Amino acid sequence: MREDDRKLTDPTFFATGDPHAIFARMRRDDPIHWTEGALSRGFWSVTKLADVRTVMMNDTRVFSSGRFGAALPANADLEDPQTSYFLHLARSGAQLSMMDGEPHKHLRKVFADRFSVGGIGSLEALVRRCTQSIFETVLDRGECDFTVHMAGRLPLVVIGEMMNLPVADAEQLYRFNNMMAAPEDPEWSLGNAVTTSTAGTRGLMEYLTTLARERRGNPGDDLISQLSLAEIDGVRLDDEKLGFNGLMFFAAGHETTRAALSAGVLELLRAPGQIAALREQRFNAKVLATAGEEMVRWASPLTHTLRTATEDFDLGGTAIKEGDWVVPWFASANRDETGFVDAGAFNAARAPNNHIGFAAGKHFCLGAHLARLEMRVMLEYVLEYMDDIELAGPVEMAASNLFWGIKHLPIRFRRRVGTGDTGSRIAA
Amino acid sequence: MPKVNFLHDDGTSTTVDGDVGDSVMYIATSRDVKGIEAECGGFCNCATCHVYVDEAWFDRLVPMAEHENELLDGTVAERRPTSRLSCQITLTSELDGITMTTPDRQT
Repeated sequence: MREDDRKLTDPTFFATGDPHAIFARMRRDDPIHWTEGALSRGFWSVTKLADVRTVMMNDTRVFSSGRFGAALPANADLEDPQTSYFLHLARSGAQLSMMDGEPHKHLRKVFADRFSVGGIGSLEALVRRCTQSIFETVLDRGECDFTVHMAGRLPLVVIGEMMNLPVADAEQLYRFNNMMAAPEDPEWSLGNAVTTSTAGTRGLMEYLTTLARERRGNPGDDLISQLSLAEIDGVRLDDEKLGFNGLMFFAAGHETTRAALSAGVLELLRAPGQIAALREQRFNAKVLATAGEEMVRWASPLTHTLRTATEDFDLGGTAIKEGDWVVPWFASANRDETGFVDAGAFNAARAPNNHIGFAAGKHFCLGAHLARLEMRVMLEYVLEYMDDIELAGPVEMAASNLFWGIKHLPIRFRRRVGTGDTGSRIAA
Repeated sequence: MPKVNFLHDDGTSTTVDGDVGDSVMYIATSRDVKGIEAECGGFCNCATCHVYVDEAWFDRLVPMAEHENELLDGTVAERRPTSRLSCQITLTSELDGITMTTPDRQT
């Protein structure tokens, strides 16, 4: 077990190793497992669906997101708020995902309408327009990196539109974000994890704080303007809160959807029967939405979250003590054999599918409906315009034990002549 | 169309017609019934469509699955013996006239 513990706290293991084999052992042998890995302190790994749900449904009451943040530090060097700028921000409660109780509730309410089913529904035309433009760029090439050019591109462009970010700045922000999210990844690293994480975080923070302060004086209807005018207890957000929440929207707006879509398409191109069945139903929103849910279950783009117990708590017979770190592993819970029929198989038609890939309870993913819309539309276009999709090179995973997902998915495909039912036909 | 009656904690009530096969949560949110938030969109993930079903109707419902039971342990308003998540109640013609009360808060 000690070797497994170390691996789970080693982001580089996630780039090449098989965390699911570790989770399967834990679910079988020690489902709430005291984990002593490479960090300076141990934590409870919660690996079964029912227990993960129990933790999430006891947020605020028993578990705090604010006390130590909502994710394991990427490595021991990033455990000290004095040296890790990200951790300093996380522990100062400057972001929605790392807040508890009433302040969390009030700030979430500010954005609730925009991210509700109806609010996101009004963005369908925008999402279709962005998808169309991506396909116009890629289709004639016959090959692409699906993750970078398509699955990652769509949510990035859409969140950019929602935040009204200048298009010219998008690439730099994308780079900052990768440095922050996967500082151990050689593709983004500046040499060491702390330097990389801090440079990425500061880059994003400074950019977004400046933008929010500018818009406060002349607000539009974009997300940054809305953030700039938000108040908690009658007080507007300070610079750290402006920047860190802006950063959350930017990061959450694309990393996770990119991972779910990439993992899903990879499984589909390995399962000709499933992709054929979906293609028959490509304009059936419900069928595509069902497939999208399975992509989220399968990928679990956010592998885990972190909570700190604020009181002693009996979790499924395990005594959690006040102050303990508790880590619900969504990636494990979503493969729990007791929660899903044939849990280890990707099934685009899976129903019911009570996965926990968007978390649950008070911190249920604010952007879930946006992700669902983006996945559905992207999938519709893939099925309509791409045929004979096959791998054109090695699949690469990100070196992160938090945002663990495909970062490169090279594919080849044959262009299909669309029927035009996606909205407007893409000219051949 | 079967009717669904919602009683609210401020003493007011709302009655709406619903389609057979839709969830009570969907019927409520699509008709702007107050007191139902349904942040997760009906996937039994957020416990913000909590209702207290009238006792006379409670036993006529399809019993809850374990995951609904787990979520009900985390509702913000007190859980009572007749608590259900309205996303998990599917309207049938037999439920015409069902009455439920929305809690004072969902979040």
